[in-house]
Amino acid sequence: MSNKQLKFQPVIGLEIHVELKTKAKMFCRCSADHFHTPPNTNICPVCLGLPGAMPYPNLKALEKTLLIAHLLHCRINRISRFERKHYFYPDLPKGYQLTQYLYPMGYQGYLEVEGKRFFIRRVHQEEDTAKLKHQRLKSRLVSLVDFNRSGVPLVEMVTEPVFDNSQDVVAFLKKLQRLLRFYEVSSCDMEKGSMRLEANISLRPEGSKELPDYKVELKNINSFRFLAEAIDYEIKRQTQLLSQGKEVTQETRGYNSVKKFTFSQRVKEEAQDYHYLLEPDIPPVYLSDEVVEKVRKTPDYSQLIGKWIKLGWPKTVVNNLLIRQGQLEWWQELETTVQEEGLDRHKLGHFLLKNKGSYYLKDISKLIARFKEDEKIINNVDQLVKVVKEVVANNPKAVADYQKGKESAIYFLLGQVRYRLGKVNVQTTLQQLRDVLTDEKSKK
Amino acid sequence: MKLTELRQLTGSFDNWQKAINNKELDLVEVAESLENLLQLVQDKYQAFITIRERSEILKELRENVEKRRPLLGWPFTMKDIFITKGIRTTASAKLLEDYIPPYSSTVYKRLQKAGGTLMAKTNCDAWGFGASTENSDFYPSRNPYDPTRVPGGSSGGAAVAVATGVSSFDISEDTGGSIRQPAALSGVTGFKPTYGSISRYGAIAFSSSLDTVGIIGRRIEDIIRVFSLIKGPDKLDATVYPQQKLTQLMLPSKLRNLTIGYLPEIMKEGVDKEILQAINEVKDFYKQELGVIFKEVKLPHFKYGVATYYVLAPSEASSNLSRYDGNRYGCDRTAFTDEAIRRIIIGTFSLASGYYDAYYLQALKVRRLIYEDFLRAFNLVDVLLLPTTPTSAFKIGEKSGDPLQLYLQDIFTIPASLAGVPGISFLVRLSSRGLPLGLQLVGPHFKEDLLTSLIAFWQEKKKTHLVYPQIEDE
Repeated sequence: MSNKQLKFQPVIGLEIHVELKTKAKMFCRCSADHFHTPPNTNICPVCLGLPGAMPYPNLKALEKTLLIAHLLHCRINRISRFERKHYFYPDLPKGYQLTQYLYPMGYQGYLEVEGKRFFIRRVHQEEDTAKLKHQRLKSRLVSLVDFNRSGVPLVEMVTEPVFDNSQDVVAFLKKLQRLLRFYEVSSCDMEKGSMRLEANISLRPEGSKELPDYKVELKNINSFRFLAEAIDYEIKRQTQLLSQGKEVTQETRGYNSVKKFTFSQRVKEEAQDYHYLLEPDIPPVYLSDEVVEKVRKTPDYSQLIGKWIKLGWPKTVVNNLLIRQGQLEWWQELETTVQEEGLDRHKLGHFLLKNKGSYYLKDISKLIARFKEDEKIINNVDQLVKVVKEVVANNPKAVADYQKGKESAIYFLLGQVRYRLGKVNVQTTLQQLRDVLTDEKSKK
Repeated sequence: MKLTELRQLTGSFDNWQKAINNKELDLVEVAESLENLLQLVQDKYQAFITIRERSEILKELRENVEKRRPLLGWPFTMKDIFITKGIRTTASAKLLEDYIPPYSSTVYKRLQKAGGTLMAKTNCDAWGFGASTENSDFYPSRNPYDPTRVPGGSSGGAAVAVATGVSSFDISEDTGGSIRQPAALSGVTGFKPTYGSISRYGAIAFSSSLDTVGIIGRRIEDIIRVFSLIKGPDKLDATVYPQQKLTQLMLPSKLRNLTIGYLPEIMKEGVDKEILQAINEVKDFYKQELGVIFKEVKLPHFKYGVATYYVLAPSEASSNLSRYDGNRYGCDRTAFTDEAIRRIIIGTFSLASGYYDAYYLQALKVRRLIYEDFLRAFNLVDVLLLPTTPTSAFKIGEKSGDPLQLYLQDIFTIPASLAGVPGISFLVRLSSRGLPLGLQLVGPHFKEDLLTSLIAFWQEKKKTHLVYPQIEDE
């Protein structure tokens, strides 16, 4: 049977790395802040891997990783052990990375996204590498190493190969990002590299339950959209190859986001042997009952969010504005005011969304005052109609343009109304303008 | 000042303290003598990698005395694997020949605070890989009782510095016997405490699960004094045991009901007659003087110690040395010498997937059995008496062609290292050929007080801590 008759089903698994939001690095007390810090300023013998230096685990980081494992409904390893993963690279000063191989902090978990459960294989703690910078220095091509990032706590999450399309992948990642940001375990900022994505993708005949005998690794992609594009591209590319009866090379591929194609970066001939060794410099860390209990009591994200939606706050507002657990107190205070003054949550919510980030948002009384003022202006239809009429009367040229079919002229008039009133509801004003202009036309 | 006079001061902290307090010492003269005598010992026995400038030694001596720091400037040396800020630290390896560290090891910092004056960094086998200092990438050290013989290793230079009397004590490290074996071959006291007593931060790692910071010295009281100044928790080393008791000497009356175990089975073959005699002498001594009971015990897995060690230690060493990847420290990987290459290859092999279970994991299991052997033995007896080495000091070059012969030097020291229990080697007497004969006492975890008390009692009666080699041109 020729492959042409076969339909293929994508098999996709994800590997996600996030940097934890901790003050100190994973195994020393250097600041973990490395974005835009002058090179090699947050460094010490430990994160430089100097002779004689030893790691000392950061318990705060372990607690955050435990929280991630909990949020992803993982089974928990109460004993944390570290392993040395050996490979040579200039950004790895010890010649090995400390990671959890045999005993991941969490395993066999899942994340539910829009009613679908996506299974998680493991969640484990590790450390980031230094950063290499390849540049020209005095007309020579050089590679510079910045160790500020060396030893920053990193968490790796690996899903089972449970995705079969790019939309699910993106929905999953967005939910994960929202969760980790909400509980302030990571900033999950892809531009800053605090969230990094890798996808393994291969195809199998539709209906088959077996995993394909190859996989293509998509790496170094720093946006959800580009990852989705790369996955879609790969599905097409691999389908084409397999349909022609060809084999797909097992390799690592990158994505050219400008020209929209994936390209080979490295062909893995065989699995690399990392010579894992239990880190003898760190005795097993036992997570205390106290710590585990504290994490178990973490309020559930969907319940927390659901509460506000049930109260009548618009979903988009809650999803976009209630983004950190730390904001809950503020929201509680706002809700109290809303109840006391009988304010409209829908309108107030959209007002908040529109003014996202404004300084007065923090002060609830100022915020409410401003909201009411806005409402007053917007709701004062009589005044609006009066002004609109005046503007139409005073701008005959624009009116004439509009009547001749130059639609954009109406925005000039809108600007004039705005100039007079300071603040208007754009949709209402445009509607009023159209009404008045239609009246004008019919008058003629 | 002559070496014999200096020996009075380095051989006993009490003497030093008295001399300082009575202002009998001209520190300028002391610093000058120290420099001259260090140089003498260096010329004859090649004990040091780096000797500090006289002006630096004098400056620190003065400061330590003026500020009345606990050790009052008592001059000491350190094995060259300890990181010392601003002072070259090489691990006796060519690869680090020019390495001047930007930080200090915890143990060095604690000694600075305690008022010890560092004079020199002592020679050892490169990276601690060896039992004779013949593997030093610079030069072998020589036994002060017979310069044609080895002083032992890896901490050979340390043993020489203390044996000649130029250094009061040396901060060393014992991975499979590197403190106890050279102490035995050079006629001094080698103190390896329980694993996890003293911070290893800033000690260039060989085999991290075995590396134990310890002290080579003479009088056991002085060793305890230094030990209590440097041991205890460190926020930079997670393997240091947090709750350690003060080590204190026990009164002889408290030693009367002890039971000491000995292991005739392990001494059937290859042990020098004079060492067996020394065992009997020590047994008789404790029986007669303290009424100690001797009991035969068996450690069934003792004999697998060397094989286990030479899988585990190279495995960890291959990992620990991977930071010398040629990108830093000014040398590429060709600067590694034979023994290091040998251990890197053995270790890398035993950690390779497919061989891991058969070698590394298997060795871990045997290590556990040896550990359990010790625990079982310590249910029956309080401490164990055993040889430190199978023979007294051997000739330079005698074993250097055969690594396996050299590995067997540590046959009696390795098991305690694998179990993490404390062991102290002490001088019994000189052999018929005038070479030191040492034995070791091994005790349960954190029972250093038992071992030190027994040896202190021996030294009190036998004065073996006052035995010095004759050095020509004195």
